[in-house]
Amino acid sequence: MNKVNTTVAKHSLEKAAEWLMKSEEAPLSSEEQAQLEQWQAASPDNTRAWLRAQRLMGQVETLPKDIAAAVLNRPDNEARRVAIGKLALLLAAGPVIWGSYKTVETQQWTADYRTAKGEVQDITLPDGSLVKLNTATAFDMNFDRHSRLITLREGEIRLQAASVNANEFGPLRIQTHEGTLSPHGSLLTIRQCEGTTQLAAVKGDVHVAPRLATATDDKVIQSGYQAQLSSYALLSSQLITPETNAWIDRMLAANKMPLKEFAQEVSRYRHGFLRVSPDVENLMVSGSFPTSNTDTILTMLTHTYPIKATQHLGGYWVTLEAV
Amino acid sequence: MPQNADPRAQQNAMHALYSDNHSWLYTWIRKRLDNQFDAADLTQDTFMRIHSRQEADKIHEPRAYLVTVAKGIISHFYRRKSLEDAYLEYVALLPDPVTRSQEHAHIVLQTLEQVDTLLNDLPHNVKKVFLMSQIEGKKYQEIADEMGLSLISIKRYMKQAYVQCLTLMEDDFFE
Repeated sequence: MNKVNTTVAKHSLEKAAEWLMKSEEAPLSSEEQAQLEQWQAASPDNTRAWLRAQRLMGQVETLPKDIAAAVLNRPDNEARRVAIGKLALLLAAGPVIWGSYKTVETQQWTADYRTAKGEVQDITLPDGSLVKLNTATAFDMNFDRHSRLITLREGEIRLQAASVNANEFGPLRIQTHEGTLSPHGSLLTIRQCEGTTQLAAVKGDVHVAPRLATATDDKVIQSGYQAQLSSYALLSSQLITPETNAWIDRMLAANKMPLKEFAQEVSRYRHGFLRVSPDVENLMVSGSFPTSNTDTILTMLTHTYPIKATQHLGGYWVTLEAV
Repeated sequence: MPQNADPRAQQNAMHALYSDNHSWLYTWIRKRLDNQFDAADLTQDTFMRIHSRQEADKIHEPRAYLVTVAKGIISHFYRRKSLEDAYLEYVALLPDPVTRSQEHAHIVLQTLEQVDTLLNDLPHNVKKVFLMSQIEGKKYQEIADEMGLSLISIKRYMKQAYVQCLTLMEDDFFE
């Protein structure tokens, strides 16, 4: 998105292709190298074409030959379906799970996980459950034969619960500042907000127990619903909106969100201060924005809405205000 | 973004498009996937794509347009899944899959997806020649011999493949 000058003149691309082929047939002589230098400096399009050529070669070289041959030569079949999550399971079957199995004699696993601002991480827990940590997130894990407890300290996670042998692992619970969640299903997201817990029961119901409420106040959030929880009660619940879990795809999605609130969301992914001037704080923002680059988000905002971003301290302090 | 787009018109059009359509579009996509979670993601991707094109104010038939964009996104989604599947099948055959680190696997898979996208629309033989050269490291003459084609044809295929890759690569592709 937000790209400018994405096209490069065709003849520049063709020439770059010819140079690549020439260099593959035989090493370039010093004379040819000088010609190449001259050509690629002759126009901005040539320069960009050659940069792309070099980048393409650089990436292809990084690929393990055996895997690349098997994967890129696979038969075309777009309708072929893959069990969701199978890949993540395999990728995660690396150091984490093997490290954990070494301690199987003690029948107990404990670990703390944390992501920095702007970082996203996938973790496999010893029972095979998968956790995706969003930006600035921390949780602790305490698993033993009797219980599996995840304590979310801050931030946001997606938990894909594995089905386990009940003799080997106890029931799974997630504890936040506000209370305890017991998922009956396999997929949910939980976010620790200031003074509240937000959860989305993506697949399967979630039993919710506010910390300071009596057991009779416990609630069940049905599959497909999201909810907000205080220490005393369930504050609200509604159908899961597409915006709630856009972060999984590293997107920030807004549907008529006031700019002030939107800026707070952006700040979760961004170092420094993002201030919103009072005259635009109620401007309604809609759309999807990439959380992997908050500068891009600011550019998209200033292109779409009548606001400007004034930067101080080399971008560390940014003020959004009316144009 | 095109500089001639009227930001205010874009903003209003995007608002309207999103609030009028995201609910049925989500349902539409959901019926084509076996997973509600992916459906929500792909619905977002669809609006994201339209937003990035800055065409929201020029759409006359929103349903038809959204369905067209969504079909492309679903097709890409399945293509990625089939790549991941092939990857998994291969890796599962390795004697010691644990030696490959998780991070490394992610990087390899991401690069594979990107290269796969670049080669996606090439004719079968062109793609085959390109992979023999670039992945298997064969010389053009060797490829010609093996495939029973002339050296000229191999070079023509290679150039076609290279031009296609370089054309599809944005300046920040692979970053």
